[in-house]
Amino acid sequence: MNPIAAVDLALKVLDEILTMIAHLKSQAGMSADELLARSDAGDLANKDAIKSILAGG
Amino acid sequence: MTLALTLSACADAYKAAAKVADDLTKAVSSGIKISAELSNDGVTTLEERNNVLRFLDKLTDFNGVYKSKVRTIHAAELACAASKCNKAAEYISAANELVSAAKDPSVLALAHVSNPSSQKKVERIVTAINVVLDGAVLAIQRVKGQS
Repeated sequence: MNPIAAVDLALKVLDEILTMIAHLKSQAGMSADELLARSDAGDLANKDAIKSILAGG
Repeated sequence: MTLALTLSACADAYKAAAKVADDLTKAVSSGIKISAELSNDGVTTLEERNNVLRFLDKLTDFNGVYKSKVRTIHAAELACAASKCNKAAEYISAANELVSAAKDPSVLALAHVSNPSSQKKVERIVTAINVVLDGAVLAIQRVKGQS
């Protein structure tokens, strides 16, 4: 793997780790009902995004 | 004191179960972003990319079924006497059903592309989802063990 690709991959992995840490921090003060409600909203958004990409070809 | 501890244990199992759903939603969301990139790599066919998206769509459906069960268990938990309200085993059962559905070979088969480089990206998606699924039952069991 060339150095630029390696740095690119490392940055993507770091980005994913930071995103997951932010996600975990955001869960800390949430109730179960709030977590389920956020998941519901996220699932709806995910379904819409998938539908949109599939429709786009 | 006992009542407070029992109710707290119930709430924690419910929260652990809810957290699994929220984590799975987040993992699918990340997976969609990676899938969208696959169509620009020039080596992944449209059908392969679409199958990865269908895989993520199925996971979202399974998550919906799982959340419905979690809500039903929690409603029963609230309705029953506090001394009998420990439903951790039922939350674990619901999580096990989610894991079984998500790890069904016919579902996992959708998350496969022929190009090795692209497959590595798809494996990132599957790994993130497996981390959530593998931790699902353990997280609820941990709370059950504390009660």
